[in-house]
Amino acid sequence: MMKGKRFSAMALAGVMAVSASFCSAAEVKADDEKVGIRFYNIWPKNEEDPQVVEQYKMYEEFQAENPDIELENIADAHEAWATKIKTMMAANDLPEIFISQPSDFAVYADSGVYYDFTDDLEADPEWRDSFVSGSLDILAKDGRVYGIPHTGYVEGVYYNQELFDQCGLTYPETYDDLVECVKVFVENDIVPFAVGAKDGWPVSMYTQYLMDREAGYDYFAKACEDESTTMDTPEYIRAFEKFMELAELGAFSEGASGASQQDSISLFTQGKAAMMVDGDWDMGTFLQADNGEFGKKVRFANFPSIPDGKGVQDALCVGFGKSFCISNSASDEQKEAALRFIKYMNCTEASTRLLEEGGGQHANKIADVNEDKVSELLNCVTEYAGSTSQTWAAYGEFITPGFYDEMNKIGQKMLLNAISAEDAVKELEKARLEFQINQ
Amino acid sequence: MNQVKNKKSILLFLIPALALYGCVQIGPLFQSLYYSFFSWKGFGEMKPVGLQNYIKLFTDDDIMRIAFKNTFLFAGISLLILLPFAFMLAVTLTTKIRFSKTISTILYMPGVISTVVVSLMWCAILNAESGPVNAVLRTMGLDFLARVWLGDPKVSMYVVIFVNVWQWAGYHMLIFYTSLQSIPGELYEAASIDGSDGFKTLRYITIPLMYNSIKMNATLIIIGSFKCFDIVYNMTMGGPADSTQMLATYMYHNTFRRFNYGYGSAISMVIFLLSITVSAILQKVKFGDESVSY
Repeated sequence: MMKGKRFSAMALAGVMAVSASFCSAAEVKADDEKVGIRFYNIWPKNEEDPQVVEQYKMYEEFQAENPDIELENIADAHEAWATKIKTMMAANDLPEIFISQPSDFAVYADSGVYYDFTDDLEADPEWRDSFVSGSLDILAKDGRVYGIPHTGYVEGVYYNQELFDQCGLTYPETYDDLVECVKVFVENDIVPFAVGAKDGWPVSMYTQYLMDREAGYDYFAKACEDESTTMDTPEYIRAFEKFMELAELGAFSEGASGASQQDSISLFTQGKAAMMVDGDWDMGTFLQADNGEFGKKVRFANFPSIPDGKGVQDALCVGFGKSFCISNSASDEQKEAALRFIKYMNCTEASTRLLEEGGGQHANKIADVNEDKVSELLNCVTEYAGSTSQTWAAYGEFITPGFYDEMNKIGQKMLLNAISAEDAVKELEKARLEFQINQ
Repeated sequence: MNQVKNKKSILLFLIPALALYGCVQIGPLFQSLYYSFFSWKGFGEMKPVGLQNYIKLFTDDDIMRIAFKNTFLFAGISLLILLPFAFMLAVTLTTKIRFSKTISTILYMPGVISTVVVSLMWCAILNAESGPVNAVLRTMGLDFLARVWLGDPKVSMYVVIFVNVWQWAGYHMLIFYTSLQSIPGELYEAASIDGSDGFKTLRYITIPLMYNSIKMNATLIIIGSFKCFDIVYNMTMGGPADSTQMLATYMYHNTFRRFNYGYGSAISMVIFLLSITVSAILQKVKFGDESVSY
């Protein structure tokens, strides 16, 4: 009898120990007064990235200023985050604050996992107006804002001035000029564009610019919502014909179809390729390559225009990808604390500071930047972004992942010359109906 | 009585392991089977669609056809090359050549390295612009042989299969090698006294005594090919334009890139059934007399 009792006591103790350890893992450590919030993000500590270093300083300062909050920083590299966050959302098991991106909103906004920021933004108009125009819209669905934009991006053409000089060329203003440049570069054994098509999306940066010049952003955005607005149009056929013409002329690196984005960056920074359509997230690499020597040669410009195209010809691809979100299942105190942290990290002051110290684009309007602190290239990018008459978000940011995936593959097929422009547009339309409209 | 008690204690010791296995292996299997009858984004509403996922998979999906073709090609070529090659290596190493231990360690090495590392290394070697393979071909004047190895739909699948063979040859060799070591030396002595030559010894002594390890290697190669994911994903991501898509990469693609959990689950059920069927067939197939002993 005694034995049985002892056994059950031990078993009970065991169960309690196990459940206690589970509790401590699942719940946030919160002292009596403190509100615990977990912050799951894509910025693991990295002493070499000035932007991340500055961001970590800001966490510490926030913690010091808000002793009633216990902030727990959980960071994963981008790839790991991309997989984990999807699983977390599917299971509705999210940390109080997490990073999300517009393509996730397209899929998950209806599921109720996101906290709705609309009322908080209304209640604080000063904060709301500090965001760059359009940056909140992309994180909204049916007028409700589910994320606060943080990092931004600018996609355009980075080019090697030295190679242009060497061939006696100037940066092309129009598509026809571009074709001429491509011919001269090919004659001189210089790769006109470095592309890493293995990953899919780098090709889409080219096709999307051409599509945008030919048909305009508004048309594409409308076609993503409205079933009767077809993508099987002469404009898109012309855009794809231009892409294939460039491929035919040898505008893209020989091994493009099997090369990764990283390979294309190497090709460009080694001075073997004259141009590369890319986002400013790779600017740091360009500036530092070849012990900073390459940074002196590289310039930034908008994609050449297509004078008879229907799009806005100086439109620049600018967007705000990664945003701060709050889990809807957090407690009210946690939501309040999370909001305080998000406001701290996403305001004009924070944006200016991160630009000056780290050189990244952020979603809040910038106050007087100390220009000495910022590289010439970054100034050039910021200037372009400020002076364009229209900005457009990269299509992959807001279309469904399935549609984006198909779009990338169509780009790969055209690069391989495995499809005609007409058929490519037909496939695009088919993918639009299957993955975007009827999703 | 003692036996009953014994059985109980065996069961008692097995329960924790079985429970764990059930939770992490059998459970998700049935879960996958269940999901495969739904159209589901991974959250929210699950729309039951009956067998529609399976019907689409077999009748109305061109990429699935490519994935099937590539998977069988992968399994077939791997089997045809790996099995005899690994066997020959193992036999050669047992013939008392010098440094056989060192050589077998070197051959086994690629199997120890993570597949991601192997893939990235070969990506660099095969890089069309900066890789040594094309550079060597060009300096030898063999420009016409230089290719975009991982970006040409005509060759990229074979290149990936080659890298897979390169990585696993040593591993399968080791299985053969250990099995060869267990064949008693007296048999070979007796055979040579009876006047048997090298080939005959191989045919009548070595191979019959190795049936089990041949079968095991064949099963491992085929099932490994069916669920092969990492090497393809890291080298080509199933591209360009789906030309190297395999069943496992396509399953991943549907589930985690397109958020099509139902369809992805249906593909994973197909992989499971294929693997189970093939290993069952291999278990049944008799390669001569398996209980052979001398």
